[in-house]
Amino acid sequence: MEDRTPRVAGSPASRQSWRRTLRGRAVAVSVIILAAMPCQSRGSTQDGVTGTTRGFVFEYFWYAMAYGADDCPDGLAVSMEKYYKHPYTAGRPGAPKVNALVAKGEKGTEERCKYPAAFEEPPLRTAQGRVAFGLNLDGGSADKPAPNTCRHTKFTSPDGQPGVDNQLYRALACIAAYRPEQHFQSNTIRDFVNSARQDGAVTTLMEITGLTDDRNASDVQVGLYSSAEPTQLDSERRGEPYDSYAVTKNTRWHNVTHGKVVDGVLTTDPIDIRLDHYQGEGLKAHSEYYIRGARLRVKLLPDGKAEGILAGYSDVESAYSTEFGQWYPTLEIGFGGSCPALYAAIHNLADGYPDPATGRCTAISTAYKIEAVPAFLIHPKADDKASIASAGPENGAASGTLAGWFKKLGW
Amino acid sequence: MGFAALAILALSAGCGRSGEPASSGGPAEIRRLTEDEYRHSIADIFGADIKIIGRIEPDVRVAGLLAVGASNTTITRAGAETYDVLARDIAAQFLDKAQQEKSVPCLPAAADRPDDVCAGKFFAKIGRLILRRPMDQATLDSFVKAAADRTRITGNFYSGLEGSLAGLLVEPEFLFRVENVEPDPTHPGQRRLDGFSKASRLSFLLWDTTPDNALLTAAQTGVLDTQAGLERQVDRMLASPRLEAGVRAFFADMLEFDSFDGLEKSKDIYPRFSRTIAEDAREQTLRTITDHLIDRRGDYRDLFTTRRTFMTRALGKIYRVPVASAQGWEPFAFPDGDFRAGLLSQISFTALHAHPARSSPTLRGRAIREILLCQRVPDPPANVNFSVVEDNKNPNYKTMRERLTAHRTNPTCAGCHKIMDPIGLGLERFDGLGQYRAEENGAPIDTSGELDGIAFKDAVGLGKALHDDPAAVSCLVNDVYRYASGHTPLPGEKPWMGWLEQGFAADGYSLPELLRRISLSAAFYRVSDGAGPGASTQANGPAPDPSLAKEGRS
Repeated sequence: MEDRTPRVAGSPASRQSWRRTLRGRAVAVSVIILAAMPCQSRGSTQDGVTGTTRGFVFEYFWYAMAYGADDCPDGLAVSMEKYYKHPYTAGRPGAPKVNALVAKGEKGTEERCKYPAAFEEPPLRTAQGRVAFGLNLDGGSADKPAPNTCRHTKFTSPDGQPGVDNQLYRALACIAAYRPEQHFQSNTIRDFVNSARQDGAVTTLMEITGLTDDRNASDVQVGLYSSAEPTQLDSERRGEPYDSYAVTKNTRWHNVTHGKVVDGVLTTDPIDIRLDHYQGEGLKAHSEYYIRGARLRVKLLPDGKAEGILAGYSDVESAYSTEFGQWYPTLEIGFGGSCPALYAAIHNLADGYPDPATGRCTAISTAYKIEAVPAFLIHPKADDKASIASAGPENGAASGTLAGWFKKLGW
Repeated sequence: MGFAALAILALSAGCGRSGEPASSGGPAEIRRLTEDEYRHSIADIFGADIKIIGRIEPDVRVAGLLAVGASNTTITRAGAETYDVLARDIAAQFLDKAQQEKSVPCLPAAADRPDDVCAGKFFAKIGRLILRRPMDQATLDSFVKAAADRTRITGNFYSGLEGSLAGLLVEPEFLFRVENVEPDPTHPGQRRLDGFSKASRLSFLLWDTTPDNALLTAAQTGVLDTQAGLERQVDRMLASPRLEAGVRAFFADMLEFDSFDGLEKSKDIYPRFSRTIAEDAREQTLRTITDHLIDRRGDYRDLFTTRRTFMTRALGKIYRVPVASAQGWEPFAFPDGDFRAGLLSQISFTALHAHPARSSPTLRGRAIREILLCQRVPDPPANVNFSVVEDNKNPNYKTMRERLTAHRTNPTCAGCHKIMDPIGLGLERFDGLGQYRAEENGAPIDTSGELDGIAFKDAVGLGKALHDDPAAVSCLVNDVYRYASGHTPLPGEKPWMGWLEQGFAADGYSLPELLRRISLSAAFYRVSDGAGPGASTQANGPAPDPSLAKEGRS
């Protein structure tokens, strides 16, 4: 008899066994068991999938950062404070006025990060290295760029895989608060985001359905979901395995795709995903991940855990608003960045999903590192999902920036 | 049918109501209220909103039960102080300015002077509930006088009542259940408990609390001394939702759940253990028991095989099962074929009977023998060498079975381990917390074993063997009676105990039916010769039947 990992038998034979178990039991018991059996009886997208189901809760989800030694040859990005002493800024006609406003703490300067396009500042220092985590998202190579992309330079992954797309890494890797070595700022943003996860503000779930074999399966269904229930941690602040989590009723944060497992490594087909995001109490920014063409490359470990990468194209407005939309001048100084420069950099580095009208790319390649522990997913009933989905934000990705508002207003 | 059963039936013939055999009866006891009994009594007398802040003297387990220990303990000097502090606090809360008019059944003639009439009404009403019998006039007068004296000093009528009420709450007749004896008019020459002592036995057995007004009235009017009146009260109490509290209290005592208070697990080895897990594990088993025995009127033996239980999120991660409710409890059923079934595979058993850092087939085997089968297992010798058993990294002995086999090569140890280990090894796939594991140090865990000649393959098989073991049934009947009476049965009670067992079987091993049978039996209230009021089993009563005791347990 094997160990009871968070998987649910979904084969016809085992379903019969569960049905026998359910027969004559209290309704409440039925609800529990059915909730744990997403592959049947609820008319979900998982109908008809055979095999077992394995669930996970993310205990870590943040950018996969390689931190190459040659990333920032000119030094780290210049903070907002320094911009005003920079010859480029100082020499420009509007600069003294803005500088004076900042010095006085006038209200308008607090809007720098909300309306970054209204400010013009020197370009961001971006990563110049050759190594980054990620996947080859566009299928192109250094010699042969993929069609329907914007010009960008590919990376090689730390394990030697060529063709990696990760333009957002270029934008972030030279900002002090995104790096590990700065004395006061080391890993600040990473810790904000993951402490929000640890504090229960945001929970992300993954479910693999149709596993006929843990090591190899030709077609599995993979779901990524948000949950309103806090991630459970042990005394070391690591994810507690085998806890149960209710999948959010908001179908906006339900993302289902297909994939395969080869030698214990799950890879998935691209899918546009939306997931709840919270940047932490320090920034109090509840927003949304909006990643287009997202795909997983995740290793299923023998102890039931999983680790790997989620790579895709972050919508540029979403990427900006989730990362910097809630910053303000004090944080620009503290974190070592400038919102207008970052906003411009992300747009300039965007490499995917070109706007047919302008040809400018609207999304930027990125990669997230995932560490997940086994969990049980409790799926909402179909009627619950419908009612909440209609209450979802119209376009959380676009909120928080002038451009976002313009987009919402259809300008 | 065996000889013993025939003998019981023969004894039953012509021995009164329902074929009940003659019984010597047991001693009348003086039993200190357990902590739970104290708390429940205060809540029922004064209201559930009265806060009892602090612990009272620890209960003492004797012959396997706190209920028996209560007949064999007293109050220390420090304990008396604790009761006194609690009494003052409870009295102050009950007669708090916002509460006093509601708490006292009359208004004093003047709030700053004594009013003996009003005080008398107050103490007559509350004293009857506290002392579990009406106050005699002299006692009542003494409390009214004390209240008046204090009122003269403080200039506050309610302050006077408060002082006397605090005194009432440290009366020995409240802190101890003192059983009084009277001649039995239906059996000249024999003695029985008086009506109020009967009422207390019933109430603490069935509801784990002090008698309510209806029961005291039945005792006061003599109705409880009639069979019809007794039946009405017993059936009323058995039909009440409060029966659950009584059943929970019994099983918490029998299963030694007070040990949960001190349960600790190594944080390195069992990082998922927490107080929440411990509390939920205890509650899970009690819910399983009351659901099965009361709500479903189930067969007691099925507790060892049932797959039905209740689950919380915290427990779900230990059992590795999904739990839909983020808060609270929900019913759960392990599927057929699962490796868990029955109480033995619940965390309350596997975690409580294990070491802080490892499982223990020996402790688990011993618990099954002593708690569930009422069989005594000797304590280990003082100089026993546990080094082989404790070294769970020894490459030569990867599994606990191998380590225990090596340990048993010591003939001093072998005898006792032989009666514990083959049982406990059946649960060895549950680690020291109760999490499932198939291997230890890379070696597969063999859970086969035997219980008194019945072979089993795993925990489910062990549960089935226990289900079919007649000793498990005898043990429960024995424990229920010892819990109810506070003493180990005397030799003269043995035929009656056999009759209870027979009836238990005939009633489909239904616990409520067993409780009813005991509660309606004259033998339950009969007091044996030479065992007067307050005579304790071990102190000066007749010698108990050693075969019915659980000895040598700690």
